[in-house]
Amino acid sequence: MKSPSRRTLLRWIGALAPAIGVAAAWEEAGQTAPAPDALDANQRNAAVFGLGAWLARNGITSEALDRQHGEAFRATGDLRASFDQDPLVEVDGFLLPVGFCRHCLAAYRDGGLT
Amino acid sequence: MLIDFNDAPDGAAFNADICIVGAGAAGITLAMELIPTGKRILLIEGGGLKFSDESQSLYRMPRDRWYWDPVRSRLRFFGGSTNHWEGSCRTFDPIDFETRSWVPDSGWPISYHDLEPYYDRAFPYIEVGARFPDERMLLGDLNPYQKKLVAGGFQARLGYHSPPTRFGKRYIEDLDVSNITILTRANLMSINESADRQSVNSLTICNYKQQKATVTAKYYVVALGGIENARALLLSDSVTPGGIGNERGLVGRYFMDHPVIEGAVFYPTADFVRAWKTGVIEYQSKTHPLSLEASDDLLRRNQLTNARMPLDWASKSYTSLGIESVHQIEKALSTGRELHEVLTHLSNVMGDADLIFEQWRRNHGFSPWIARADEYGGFVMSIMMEQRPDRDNRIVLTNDRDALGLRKGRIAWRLPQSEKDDFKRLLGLFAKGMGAQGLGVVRSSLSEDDMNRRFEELINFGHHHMGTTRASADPKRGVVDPDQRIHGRANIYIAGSSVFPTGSHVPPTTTIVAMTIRLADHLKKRLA
Repeated sequence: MKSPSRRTLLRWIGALAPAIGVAAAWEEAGQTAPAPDALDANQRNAAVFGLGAWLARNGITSEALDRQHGEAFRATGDLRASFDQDPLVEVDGFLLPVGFCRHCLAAYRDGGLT
Repeated sequence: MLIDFNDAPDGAAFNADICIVGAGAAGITLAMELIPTGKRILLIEGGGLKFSDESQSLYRMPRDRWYWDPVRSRLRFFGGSTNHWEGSCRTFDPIDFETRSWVPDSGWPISYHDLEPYYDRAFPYIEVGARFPDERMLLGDLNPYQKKLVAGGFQARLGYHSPPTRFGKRYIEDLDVSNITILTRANLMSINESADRQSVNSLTICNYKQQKATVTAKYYVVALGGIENARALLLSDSVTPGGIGNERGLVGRYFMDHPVIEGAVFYPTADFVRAWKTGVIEYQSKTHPLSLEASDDLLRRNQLTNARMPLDWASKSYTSLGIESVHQIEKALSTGRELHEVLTHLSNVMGDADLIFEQWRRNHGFSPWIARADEYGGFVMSIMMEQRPDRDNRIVLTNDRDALGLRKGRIAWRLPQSEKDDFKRLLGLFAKGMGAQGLGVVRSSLSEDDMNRRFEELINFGHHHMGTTRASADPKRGVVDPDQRIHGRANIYIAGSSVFPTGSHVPPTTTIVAMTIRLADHLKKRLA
């Protein structure tokens, strides 16, 4: 799989996270990101799977997260809650929460959201 | 009266009620405040009315590798460094004056509330008009986000902007009154103490022809800036070994600046971008820059020093991963360093090929062609941090001599690992706060290599020199007392940011002026 561009990454993150529109990912600042509800299953699956692949390519694995943070921070697709409660992982500079990263890694491992 | 000391006859002597050494923001403010007393004020400036190499070169001094040469950051002529001041001004925060258990050697001998009335009087000097009673009214567009920011541990704050006031030009005519004498091109050589170390008897000054003169006054105020104030005391060691006020070895120590690092890109929601606009609010013809700041609560809970983060609107070119990859590829090719993630870099380059092409065109003088390059691409965050007071950051004397024959100073400066860690922790807290509130995501611009090995190379400075003659009620902990008088001396005071025990994240000029007005009130009482 081809490495995603930063814009693609931001689109995926923005599309998956309620209210995190991440304006930079869209062509104009005024253009609002699609709400997660507006995503169909395929789009959601592609975004989570893509992020999981990107995390793995950057050396982030479930095992590595276990070693660094223990198993306390469970996988969650709720990015805002994960930001609130979990420690952060730095991936290519992006500061993302552990639970959300686990969620994406699991989807990548399983070939998509189950 | 204006006297060019370079043209004065041999054997000249000067006498005044108050002698102020240094005509920068502090010295000029003090002279202005003392005009109504009718007392004879002598204002001494080492440079002339305009810039000259002979004066400016006296600022040249050795310093640690990472620190900037003061000859580039300060100006040595009438008006001092306000002659190139950028104009950013604001009051310090109340927390800046507190003794914070997690900041060793913190704590001012006065509180924010003690200084607040003097801030009100300082604002007209720096020509920003009256302080706003409530800045919230100007943050109307941001109000929907202010609550979220606060919940995330941060807040939007307004800055004030001076025109900027060039104190020399602005006030020289006001100082043309009968009780003020301005002596230019008069360099302080020594402060001459009495044998019992209780007071100062005189100053020795020198012009650029090596002619000397003696100055006597009832009170002396040294206002030469954060580096030179300490150096002047260290050089005056004929009675007190180590220099005036240096019985406990504190003079020159605790040197602080404001490290600034462009550390991250913030990608917020489109609505937030619209509310933030360009990060500037216009009000009654005044420009007020916006910045994000950590809340007191977040600072206390996480034991951090104060910090602010202006969000600078950045174009897609500026934040382009493809352009960044081009730089890294170029660097790898020129240095022979191994390039990791080659496929990712190539992918970035392909994804941003249009931006890279446009950047190349503009670098070669072609006019803008691809509009997308100028579109919004995120906010660049330059973080300005409060530096913890550190005894080992200091001004010391060397054995090299300047053109006047005085020992040069040297700046010893370092940024301990703990402060780099603070930066990283602050960025993490910002990312968590913004993510949890649904306001956006953060990408650090600094790699592990940058954090561990290149951090100092990447730092910029506010060029705000502070702390070298710190104030404390306790003579064991400070050079000057809460009235800015050197401990144990009856008639010598220090003015300027060298008396700040801690430096906040805020540019110091507003607080320098406020503290100087407070000093003027004290001197008025003594003169009465």
